[in-house]
Amino acid sequence: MEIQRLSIKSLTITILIVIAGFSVLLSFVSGEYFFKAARESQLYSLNRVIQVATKEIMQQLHDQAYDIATALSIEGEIPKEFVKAVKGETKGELVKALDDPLITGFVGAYIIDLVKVRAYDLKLNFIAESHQGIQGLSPQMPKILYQQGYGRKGVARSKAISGLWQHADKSYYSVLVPIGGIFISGYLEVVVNPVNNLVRLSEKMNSPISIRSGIDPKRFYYEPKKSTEKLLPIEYELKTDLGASAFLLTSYEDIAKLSEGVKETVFNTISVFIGLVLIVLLIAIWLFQLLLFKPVNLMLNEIRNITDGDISRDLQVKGLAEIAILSGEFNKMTKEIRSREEVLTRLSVIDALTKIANRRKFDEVLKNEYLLGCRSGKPLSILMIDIDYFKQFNDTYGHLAGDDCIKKVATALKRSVYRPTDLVARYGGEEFAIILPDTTKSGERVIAEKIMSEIARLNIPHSSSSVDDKITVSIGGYAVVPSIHDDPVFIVAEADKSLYQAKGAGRNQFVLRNEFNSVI
Amino acid sequence: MKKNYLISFIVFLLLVVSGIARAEKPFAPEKLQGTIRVDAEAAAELIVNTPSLLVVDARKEVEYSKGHIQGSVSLLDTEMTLEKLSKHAPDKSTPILFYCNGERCLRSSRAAAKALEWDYKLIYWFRGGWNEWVDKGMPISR
Repeated sequence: MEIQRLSIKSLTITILIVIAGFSVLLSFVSGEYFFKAARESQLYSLNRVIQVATKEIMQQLHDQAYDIATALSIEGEIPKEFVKAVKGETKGELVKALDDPLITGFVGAYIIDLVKVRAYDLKLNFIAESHQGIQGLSPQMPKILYQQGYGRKGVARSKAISGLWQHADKSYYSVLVPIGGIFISGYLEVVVNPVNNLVRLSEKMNSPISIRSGIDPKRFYYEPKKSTEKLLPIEYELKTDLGASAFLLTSYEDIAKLSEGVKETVFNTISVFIGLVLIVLLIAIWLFQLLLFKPVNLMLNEIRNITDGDISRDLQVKGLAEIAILSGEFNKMTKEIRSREEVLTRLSVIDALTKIANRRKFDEVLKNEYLLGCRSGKPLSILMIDIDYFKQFNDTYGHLAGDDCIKKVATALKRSVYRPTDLVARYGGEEFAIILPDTTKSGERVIAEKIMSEIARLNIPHSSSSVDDKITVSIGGYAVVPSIHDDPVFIVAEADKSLYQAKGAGRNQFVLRNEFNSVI
Repeated sequence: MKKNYLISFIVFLLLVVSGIARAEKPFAPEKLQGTIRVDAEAAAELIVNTPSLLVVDARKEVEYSKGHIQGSVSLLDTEMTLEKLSKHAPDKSTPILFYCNGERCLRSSRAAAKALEWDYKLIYWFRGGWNEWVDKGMPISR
């Protein structure tokens, strides 16, 4: 595409539309990113929620296990039987006492799955455990509890210890409390299965959940009842106190509603944005139209008119600063052209030496005045003036003096006429002509006498003249009422005849005639 | 004018309420002349090693029943008389340990002051009280 063919308007509008298009495209892209970011932050917050909910459940589990352990260890059968057992008496009664909570349960609304109750001495050596509950559980107290409790001294020994630990392929939660309270004689371990409590995560999260083994993720302890295909799984890994994976808790979240909301927000935002872009685009195009395209077009048309020849016009364009400057400068230029043209015109009709009208101007004015006279029926007079013995003057005084003489004569001639319509012209060489519109022979005469006296007043010496010792002129005049059937050239010829007559009669005089050939 | 009255009334009410709130939650004194101040660990050691020690829970009975230090007796400070205390500690040389909810509870300090007046010779004051006991994971009794 050639650059010359491209208009400012089409280029500007194209650029504006491209910018608008890109902004719209950008809004779609950012909408997509916004959607992703919203989804990610949603996932993040849901992760935090499941984490907090799980920790809350584990805290409740701890509180309840601790309460039960405390209730069992300070008063009742277990402390008594434990003392006996440690002293070396039979352990049977202690085992019975340890079995009791597993058989009869607890008073109160404790929701824990008790799986074993075990007793240890002050040095954390195993003493006895309940027959009830899970069989084959490691008789040694879980590593974590042992590490925390071993080596404690004084009252510190009576502080409770708890932790999540693994045995074989399952994870358990244990609480270790002192038997006898602060009057400590040994330790009681209460082992619970946390799955029972973790199921309540479903209530807390208000969504279906699954619980899997951290050791074997394919093994489900709890599965959601309904299909979770369309739901988003949020996973949290519950670890044992030693850092191994104990449980994989998954909450299935229905984020369709939220996603819909986000999508709607994105859609609304983009719609509003596109609307705004369109409005801005239209306003921009309108402004460009008003302030740029229209003035430029107007200017182009005006310039075209001016270059087509109508140089007299000025640009009348209102627009932005640049356009105003451009039009102002253009106006300056046309003004300059006009003034130069005027000068040229003037120069073409003015005689260079005398600064009065030249032959061309004379012919033009004569023609016009003749036509005017044809219409008005008013008389027209022509005077032809010739400097007497000018050749001799030139020979005597030189051409420069001759030029000077001609200039002075022209000035004198100009002084001799009064009316603005009268035209004094240099007809050629030392010959002058005067057009006197609306002038009869008597008027002609007044002018001729005036000329003679003005020339005399010039007082230019002319020693080689045979008429006088000063410059003199001969004048031939002819007055006529112009007729459409005649030619203005004819008047000039007649005035010339009068001039010859004046010359023939001895120069330094005038001969005025009219169309009836009468000489005045 | 009515509005002005209402506003000044509300301001007055706020001042009173804040005053009450402040008055309700004062800190217990740092020291109590004539008593030995102990923390949770020292209190536990005392209980374990001093069989004659009387532990007095100066809180309300409802609070006591929810959980208390092993072997303590419930005696609300305002209701504690010499007769009631004498039942548990007939001998004025019996060491007594007073505790209540914690440092923002004045019951134990008041009760200890009363016992001092009644000429009990050896008084321990567990200023941190029940809150400190539980926070430190000491065994509790119900």
